[in-house]
Amino acid sequence: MAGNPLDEVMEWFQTARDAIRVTERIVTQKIPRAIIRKHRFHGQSEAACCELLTSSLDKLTHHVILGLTAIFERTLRDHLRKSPVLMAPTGDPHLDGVRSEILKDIEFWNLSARVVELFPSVDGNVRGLVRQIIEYRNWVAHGHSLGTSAPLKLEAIDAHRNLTTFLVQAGVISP
Amino acid sequence: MKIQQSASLQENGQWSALAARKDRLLENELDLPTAEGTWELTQDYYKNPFLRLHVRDPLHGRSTCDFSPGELANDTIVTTRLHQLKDALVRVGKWRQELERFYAQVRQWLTKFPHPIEYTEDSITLNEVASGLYDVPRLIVETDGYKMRVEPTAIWVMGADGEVQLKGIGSMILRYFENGGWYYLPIQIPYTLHELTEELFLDVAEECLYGG
Repeated sequence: MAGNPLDEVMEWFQTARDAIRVTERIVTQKIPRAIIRKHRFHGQSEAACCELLTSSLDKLTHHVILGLTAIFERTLRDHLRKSPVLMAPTGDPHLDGVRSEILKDIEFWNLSARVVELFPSVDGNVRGLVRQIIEYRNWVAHGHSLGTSAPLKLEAIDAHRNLTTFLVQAGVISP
Repeated sequence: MKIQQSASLQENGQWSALAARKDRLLENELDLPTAEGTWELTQDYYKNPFLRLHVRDPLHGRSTCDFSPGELANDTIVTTRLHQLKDALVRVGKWRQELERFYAQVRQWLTKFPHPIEYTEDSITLNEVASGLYDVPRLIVETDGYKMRVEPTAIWVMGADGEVQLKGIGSMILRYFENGGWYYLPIQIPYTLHELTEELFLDVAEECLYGG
Protein backbone atom coordinates (compact mmCIF):
# COMPACT_ATOMS: atom_id res chain seq x y z
CA MET A 1 0.00 0.00 0.00
CA ALA A 2 1.06 3.56 -0.63
CA GLY A 3 2.15 6.19 1.89
CA ASN A 4 -0.17 9.00 2.92
CA PRO A 5 -0.61 11.46 0.02
CA LEU A 6 -2.04 14.03 2.45
CA ASP A 7 1.19 14.46 4.43
CA GLU A 8 2.88 16.56 1.77
CA VAL A 9 0.13 19.20 2.02
CA MET A 10 0.61 19.49 5.78
CA GLU A 11 4.35 19.83 5.30
CA TRP A 12 4.08 22.85 2.98
CA PHE A 13 1.30 24.26 5.15
CA GLN A 14 3.65 24.11 8.13
CA THR A 15 6.30 25.96 6.13
CA ALA A 16 3.82 28.64 5.07
CA ARG A 17 2.51 29.03 8.64
CA ASP A 18 6.04 29.43 9.94
CA ALA A 19 6.74 32.04 7.25
CA ILE A 20 3.66 34.03 8.25
CA ARG A 21 4.64 33.79 11.91
CA VAL A 22 8.21 34.94 11.23
CA THR A 23 6.84 37.90 9.26
CA GLU A 24 4.49 38.76 12.12
CA ARG A 25 7.44 38.70 14.47
CA ILE A 26 9.41 41.02 12.15
CA VAL A 27 6.48 43.44 12.03
CA THR A 28 5.72 43.30 15.77
CA GLN A 29 9.31 43.58 16.89
CA LYS A 30 10.09 46.21 14.24
CA ILE A 31 13.21 44.40 13.06
CA PRO A 32 15.11 46.94 10.95
CA ARG A 33 15.64 46.59 7.18
CA ALA A 34 13.56 43.38 7.01
CA ILE A 35 10.68 45.12 5.25
CA ILE A 36 11.59 47.06 2.15
CA ARG A 37 9.55 49.23 -0.23
CA LYS A 38 8.44 46.45 -2.53
CA HIS A 39 6.84 44.50 0.32
CA ARG A 40 3.13 44.79 0.89
CA PHE A 41 3.74 45.72 4.53
CA HIS A 42 5.89 48.74 3.74
CA GLY A 43 4.48 51.96 5.19
CA GLN A 44 1.55 50.19 6.91
CA SER A 45 0.80 50.24 10.62
CA GLU A 46 1.63 47.22 12.76
CA ALA A 47 -2.09 46.53 13.25
CA ALA A 48 -2.77 46.66 9.49
CA CYS A 49 0.16 44.30 8.78
CA CYS A 50 -1.04 41.82 11.43
CA GLU A 51 -4.56 41.96 10.00
CA LEU A 52 -3.19 41.17 6.52
CA LEU A 53 -1.24 38.22 7.90
CA THR A 54 -4.14 36.86 9.97
CA SER A 55 -6.51 37.10 7.04
CA SER A 56 -3.99 35.37 4.75
CA LEU A 57 -3.56 32.53 7.24
CA ASP A 58 -7.35 32.06 7.44
CA LYS A 59 -7.62 31.92 3.64
CA LEU A 60 -4.61 29.62 3.42
CA THR A 61 -6.22 27.23 5.94
CA HIS A 62 -9.38 27.16 3.81
CA HIS A 63 -7.36 26.28 0.74
CA VAL A 64 -5.36 23.63 2.55
CA ILE A 65 -8.63 21.92 3.54
CA LEU A 66 -9.78 22.27 -0.07
CA GLY A 67 -6.51 20.69 -1.23
CA LEU A 68 -6.60 17.87 1.33
CA THR A 69 -10.16 16.99 0.33
CA ALA A 70 -9.29 17.08 -3.39
CA ILE A 71 -6.35 14.70 -2.88
CA PHE A 72 -8.51 12.44 -0.70
CA GLU A 73 -11.17 12.34 -3.43
CA ARG A 74 -8.65 11.58 -6.19
CA THR A 75 -7.08 8.82 -4.07
CA LEU A 76 -10.44 7.14 -3.44
CA ARG A 77 -11.56 7.35 -7.08
CA ASP A 78 -8.20 5.96 -8.28
CA HIS A 79 -8.54 3.13 -5.75
CA LEU A 80 -12.02 2.28 -7.06
CA ARG A 81 -10.77 2.29 -10.64
CA LYS A 82 -8.25 -0.41 -9.69
CA SER A 83 -10.94 -2.60 -8.13
CA PRO A 84 -10.78 -6.28 -9.20
CA VAL A 85 -14.46 -5.99 -10.16
CA LEU A 86 -13.30 -3.79 -13.01
CA MET A 87 -10.87 -6.42 -14.34
CA ALA A 88 -8.37 -5.70 -17.09
CA PRO A 89 -9.62 -5.39 -20.70
CA THR A 90 -10.69 -8.79 -22.01
CA GLY A 91 -10.54 -8.14 -25.75
CA ASP A 92 -14.33 -8.61 -25.93
CA PRO A 93 -15.63 -5.33 -27.42
CA HIS A 94 -18.90 -5.52 -25.44
CA LEU A 95 -17.32 -6.23 -22.03
CA ASP A 96 -14.54 -3.73 -22.60
CA GLY A 97 -17.07 -1.10 -23.63
CA VAL A 98 -19.10 -1.64 -20.44
CA ARG A 99 -15.90 -1.51 -18.37
CA SER A 100 -14.80 1.70 -20.06
CA GLU A 101 -18.18 3.37 -19.40
CA ILE A 102 -18.13 2.36 -15.72
CA LEU A 103 -14.62 3.76 -15.34
CA LYS A 104 -15.78 7.08 -16.83
CA ASP A 105 -18.86 7.08 -14.58
CA ILE A 106 -16.78 6.70 -11.42
CA GLU A 107 -15.56 10.26 -11.95
CA PHE A 108 -19.12 11.53 -11.56
CA TRP A 109 -20.23 9.54 -8.51
CA ASN A 110 -21.09 11.95 -5.72
CA LEU A 111 -18.24 11.85 -3.21
CA SER A 112 -20.28 12.33 -0.06
CA ALA A 113 -23.37 10.29 -0.95
CA ARG A 114 -21.84 7.44 -2.96
CA VAL A 115 -18.06 7.11 -2.93
CA VAL A 116 -17.52 7.21 0.85
CA GLU A 117 -20.34 4.67 1.25
CA LEU A 118 -18.42 2.06 -0.74
CA PHE A 119 -16.01 1.32 2.10
CA PRO A 120 -17.87 -0.73 4.76
CA SER A 121 -14.65 -1.33 6.68
CA VAL A 122 -14.64 2.35 7.66
CA ASP A 123 -16.23 3.19 11.00
CA GLY A 124 -19.59 4.97 10.65
CA ASN A 125 -18.43 7.82 12.86
CA VAL A 126 -15.37 8.41 10.65
CA ARG A 127 -17.59 8.41 7.55
CA GLY A 128 -19.76 11.05 9.24
CA LEU A 129 -16.74 13.24 10.04
CA VAL A 130 -15.49 12.89 6.45
CA ARG A 131 -18.91 14.01 5.18
CA GLN A 132 -18.62 17.09 7.40
CA ILE A 133 -15.19 17.83 5.90
CA ILE A 134 -16.65 17.52 2.40
CA GLU A 135 -19.45 19.89 3.43
CA TYR A 136 -16.81 22.33 4.68
CA ARG A 137 -14.91 21.94 1.38
CA ASN A 138 -18.13 22.81 -0.47
CA TRP A 139 -18.59 25.87 1.73
CA VAL A 140 -15.03 27.03 0.98
CA ALA A 141 -15.58 26.46 -2.73
CA HIS A 142 -19.05 27.96 -3.06
CA GLY A 143 -20.45 29.52 0.08
CA HIS A 144 -18.03 31.57 2.10
CA SER A 145 -17.73 34.38 -0.42
CA LEU A 146 -21.49 34.96 -0.02
CA GLY A 147 -21.03 35.80 3.64
CA THR A 148 -22.50 32.55 4.96
CA SER A 149 -21.04 30.97 8.10
CA ALA A 150 -18.91 27.83 7.99
CA PRO A 151 -20.92 24.65 8.72
CA LEU A 152 -18.58 24.06 11.67
CA LYS A 153 -15.11 25.03 12.90
CA LEU A 154 -12.46 22.93 11.27
CA GLU A 155 -8.67 23.21 11.16
CA ALA A 156 -6.41 21.64 8.54
CA ILE A 157 -5.07 19.25 11.17
CA ASP A 158 -8.64 17.97 11.84
CA ALA A 159 -9.18 17.38 8.12
CA HIS A 160 -5.82 15.62 7.76
CA ARG A 161 -6.49 13.39 10.75
CA ASN A 162 -9.97 12.23 9.75
CA LEU A 163 -9.31 11.88 6.02
CA THR A 164 -6.20 9.85 6.88
CA THR A 165 -8.15 7.63 9.30
CA PHE A 166 -10.67 6.95 6.52
CA LEU A 167 -7.96 6.04 4.00
CA VAL A 168 -6.29 3.68 6.51
CA GLN A 169 -9.54 1.98 7.57
CA ALA A 170 -10.54 1.66 3.91
CA GLY A 171 -7.26 -0.16 3.25
CA VAL A 172 -6.17 2.43 0.70
CA ILE A 173 -2.98 3.48 2.54
CA SER A 174 -0.80 1.91 5.23
CA PRO A 175 -1.34 2.91 8.87
CA MET B 1 -41.33 35.74 27.70
CA LYS B 2 -40.71 39.35 26.79
CA ILE B 3 -40.73 39.89 23.02
CA GLN B 4 -40.07 43.25 21.44
CA GLN B 5 -39.23 44.75 18.07
CA SER B 6 -36.28 46.94 17.11
CA ALA B 7 -37.05 50.60 16.40
CA SER B 8 -36.42 50.22 12.66
CA LEU B 9 -38.78 47.23 12.47
CA GLN B 10 -41.54 49.11 14.29
CA GLU B 11 -41.38 51.76 11.58
CA ASN B 12 -42.10 49.16 8.89
CA GLY B 13 -45.78 48.22 9.31
CA GLN B 14 -45.87 45.18 7.01
CA TRP B 15 -42.78 43.50 8.42
CA SER B 16 -43.70 44.47 11.97
CA ALA B 17 -47.08 42.74 11.61
CA LEU B 18 -45.42 39.67 10.09
CA ALA B 19 -43.13 39.33 13.12
CA ALA B 20 -45.91 40.02 15.62
CA ARG B 21 -48.04 37.19 14.17
CA LYS B 22 -45.33 34.70 15.26
CA ASP B 23 -44.96 35.92 18.86
CA ARG B 24 -47.46 33.42 20.27
CA LEU B 25 -45.76 30.50 18.48
CA LEU B 26 -42.41 31.75 19.71
CA GLU B 27 -43.55 31.88 23.34
CA ASN B 28 -45.08 28.40 23.16
CA GLU B 29 -42.19 26.68 21.40
CA LEU B 30 -39.30 28.31 23.26
CA ASP B 31 -41.10 28.02 26.59
CA LEU B 32 -38.52 30.20 28.35
CA PRO B 33 -40.49 32.61 30.54
CA THR B 34 -37.41 34.56 31.63
CA ALA B 35 -35.86 34.90 28.18
CA GLU B 36 -36.03 38.06 26.07
CA GLY B 37 -36.60 38.11 22.33
CA THR B 38 -36.11 40.96 19.86
CA TRP B 39 -37.17 40.97 16.23
CA GLU B 40 -34.97 42.93 13.86
CA LEU B 41 -35.36 43.69 10.14
CA THR B 42 -32.10 43.16 8.25
CA GLN B 43 -30.71 42.18 4.82
CA ASP B 44 -28.84 39.21 3.38
CA TYR B 45 -25.81 39.25 1.06
CA TYR B 46 -28.07 40.01 -1.93
CA LYS B 47 -29.82 42.87 -0.07
CA ASN B 48 -33.01 40.83 0.35
CA PRO B 49 -34.78 41.79 3.58
CA PHE B 50 -35.41 39.16 6.28
CA LEU B 51 -36.33 39.03 9.95
CA ARG B 52 -33.76 38.14 12.57
CA LEU B 53 -34.84 36.99 16.01
CA HIS B 54 -32.36 37.68 18.84
CA VAL B 55 -32.92 35.69 22.04
CA ARG B 56 -31.07 36.00 25.34
CA ASP B 57 -31.73 34.28 28.63
CA PRO B 58 -30.59 35.02 32.19
CA LEU B 59 -28.27 31.96 32.11
CA HIS B 60 -25.91 33.71 29.66
CA GLY B 61 -27.54 32.17 26.57
CA ARG B 62 -27.47 34.22 23.36
CA SER B 63 -28.46 33.24 19.85
CA THR B 64 -30.22 34.43 16.74
CA CYS B 65 -32.34 32.86 14.05
CA ASP B 66 -33.05 34.27 10.58
CA PHE B 67 -36.37 33.92 8.76
CA SER B 68 -37.32 34.86 5.21
CA PRO B 69 -41.00 35.78 4.65
CA GLY B 70 -41.55 32.37 3.01
CA GLU B 71 -40.12 30.55 6.03
CA LEU B 72 -42.25 32.59 8.43
CA ALA B 73 -45.35 31.54 6.54
CA ASN B 74 -44.64 27.88 7.35
CA ASP B 75 -45.19 27.07 11.03
CA THR B 76 -43.45 23.70 10.71
CA ILE B 77 -40.24 25.39 9.56
CA VAL B 78 -40.54 28.06 12.25
CA THR B 79 -41.12 25.46 14.98
CA THR B 80 -38.14 23.34 13.90
CA ARG B 81 -35.88 26.41 13.81
CA LEU B 82 -37.07 27.58 17.24
CA HIS B 83 -36.21 24.19 18.74
CA GLN B 84 -32.71 24.46 17.22
CA LEU B 85 -32.43 27.97 18.59
CA LYS B 86 -33.40 26.78 22.07
CA ASP B 87 -30.71 24.05 21.98
CA ALA B 88 -28.15 26.60 20.79
CA LEU B 89 -29.17 29.03 23.53
CA VAL B 90 -28.41 26.43 26.20
CA ARG B 91 -25.07 25.52 24.65
CA VAL B 92 -23.99 29.16 24.22
CA GLY B 93 -24.95 29.82 27.85
CA LYS B 94 -22.82 26.90 29.09
CA TRP B 95 -19.93 28.02 26.88
CA ARG B 96 -19.99 31.59 28.16
CA GLN B 97 -19.90 30.26 31.73
CA GLU B 98 -17.02 27.92 30.87
CA LEU B 99 -15.13 30.86 29.37
CA GLU B 100 -15.47 32.81 32.61
CA ARG B 101 -14.05 29.83 34.54
CA PHE B 102 -11.24 29.43 32.00
CA TYR B 103 -10.27 33.12 32.08
CA ALA B 104 -10.07 32.93 35.89
CA GLN B 105 -7.78 29.90 35.52
CA VAL B 106 -5.64 31.73 32.93
CA ARG B 107 -5.23 34.72 35.26
CA GLN B 108 -4.24 32.35 38.04
CA TRP B 109 -1.65 30.57 35.87
CA LEU B 110 -0.22 33.87 34.64
CA THR B 111 0.60 34.96 38.20
CA LYS B 112 3.68 32.75 37.68
CA PHE B 113 4.77 34.82 34.68
CA PRO B 114 8.07 36.64 35.23
CA HIS B 115 6.77 40.07 34.16
CA PRO B 116 3.83 42.13 35.45
CA ILE B 117 0.65 41.62 33.43
CA GLU B 118 -2.27 43.88 32.62
CA TYR B 119 -5.63 42.37 31.73
CA THR B 120 -8.53 43.85 29.83
CA GLU B 121 -11.71 42.17 28.65
CA ASP B 122 -13.85 43.12 25.70
CA SER B 123 -16.61 41.41 23.79
CA ILE B 124 -16.61 39.92 20.30
CA THR B 125 -19.48 38.62 18.21
CA LEU B 126 -19.29 35.19 16.60
CA ASN B 127 -21.61 33.76 13.98
CA GLU B 128 -22.13 30.01 13.75
CA VAL B 129 -24.65 28.10 11.67
CA ALA B 130 -26.10 26.33 14.70
CA SER B 131 -26.53 29.41 16.88
CA GLY B 132 -26.53 32.48 14.68
CA LEU B 133 -24.90 35.52 16.26
CA TYR B 134 -23.75 35.53 19.87
CA ASP B 135 -21.28 37.59 21.84
CA VAL B 136 -18.52 36.22 24.03
CA PRO B 137 -15.92 37.83 26.27
CA ARG B 138 -12.32 38.04 25.05
CA LEU B 139 -9.39 38.35 27.43
CA ILE B 140 -6.47 40.57 26.41
CA VAL B 141 -3.14 40.06 28.15
CA GLU B 142 -0.37 42.66 27.92
CA THR B 143 3.10 42.36 29.38
CA ASP B 144 6.45 43.89 28.74
CA GLY B 145 5.13 45.68 25.63
CA TYR B 146 3.72 42.46 24.12
CA LYS B 147 0.09 41.56 23.66
CA MET B 148 -1.86 38.29 23.45
CA ARG B 149 -5.59 37.80 22.99
CA VAL B 150 -7.36 34.80 24.50
CA GLU B 151 -10.09 34.66 21.89
CA PRO B 152 -12.99 32.20 21.58
CA THR B 153 -13.41 31.08 17.97
CA ALA B 154 -16.27 28.57 17.99
CA ILE B 155 -18.45 26.17 19.98
CA TRP B 156 -19.32 23.80 17.14
CA VAL B 157 -15.86 22.39 16.43
CA MET B 158 -14.94 19.10 14.76
CA GLY B 159 -14.28 16.57 17.51
CA ALA B 160 -14.50 19.04 20.43
CA ASP B 161 -16.99 21.11 22.44
CA GLY B 162 -15.41 24.52 21.94
CA GLU B 163 -12.28 26.30 20.82
CA VAL B 164 -10.27 29.27 22.01
CA GLN B 165 -7.19 30.59 20.27
CA LEU B 166 -4.27 32.41 21.81
CA LYS B 167 -3.46 35.14 19.31
CA GLY B 168 -0.23 37.05 19.56
CA ILE B 169 2.67 36.39 17.25
CA GLY B 170 0.97 33.52 15.48
CA SER B 171 -1.96 31.67 16.97
CA MET B 172 -2.27 28.60 19.19
CA ILE B 173 -5.31 26.36 19.35
CA LEU B 174 -6.89 25.32 22.64
CA ARG B 175 -9.76 22.83 22.52
CA TYR B 176 -12.38 22.27 25.18
CA PHE B 177 -14.06 18.91 25.90
CA GLU B 178 -17.06 18.79 28.22
CA ASN B 179 -15.83 15.51 29.70
CA GLY B 180 -12.13 16.24 29.62
CA GLY B 181 -11.36 19.92 30.10
CA TRP B 182 -8.86 21.95 28.07
CA TYR B 183 -6.21 20.70 25.63
CA TYR B 184 -3.56 22.30 23.41
CA LEU B 185 -3.63 21.19 19.76
CA PRO B 186 -0.45 21.94 17.80
CA ILE B 187 -0.95 22.23 14.02
CA GLN B 188 1.44 19.45 13.13
CA ILE B 189 1.15 15.81 12.20
CA PRO B 190 0.53 13.43 13.81
CA TYR B 191 -2.57 14.96 15.45
CA THR B 192 -1.85 15.03 19.19
CA LEU B 193 -3.81 16.71 21.96
CA HIS B 194 -1.83 17.81 25.03
CA GLU B 195 -3.68 18.25 28.31
CA LEU B 196 -3.43 21.91 29.28
CA THR B 197 -1.49 22.19 32.52
CA GLU B 198 -0.14 25.34 34.11
CA GLU B 199 3.35 24.58 32.81
CA LEU B 200 2.18 23.93 29.26
CA PHE B 201 -0.04 27.02 29.24
CA LEU B 202 2.87 29.22 30.33
CA ASP B 203 5.09 27.73 27.59
CA VAL B 204 2.46 28.26 24.92
CA ALA B 205 1.61 31.76 26.15
CA GLU B 206 5.28 32.74 26.16
CA GLU B 207 5.70 31.46 22.61
CA CYS B 208 2.62 33.36 21.53
CA LEU B 209 3.62 36.61 23.26
CA TYR B 210 7.24 36.71 22.13
CA GLY B 211 7.07 34.71 18.91
CA GLY B 212 9.52 32.04 20.03
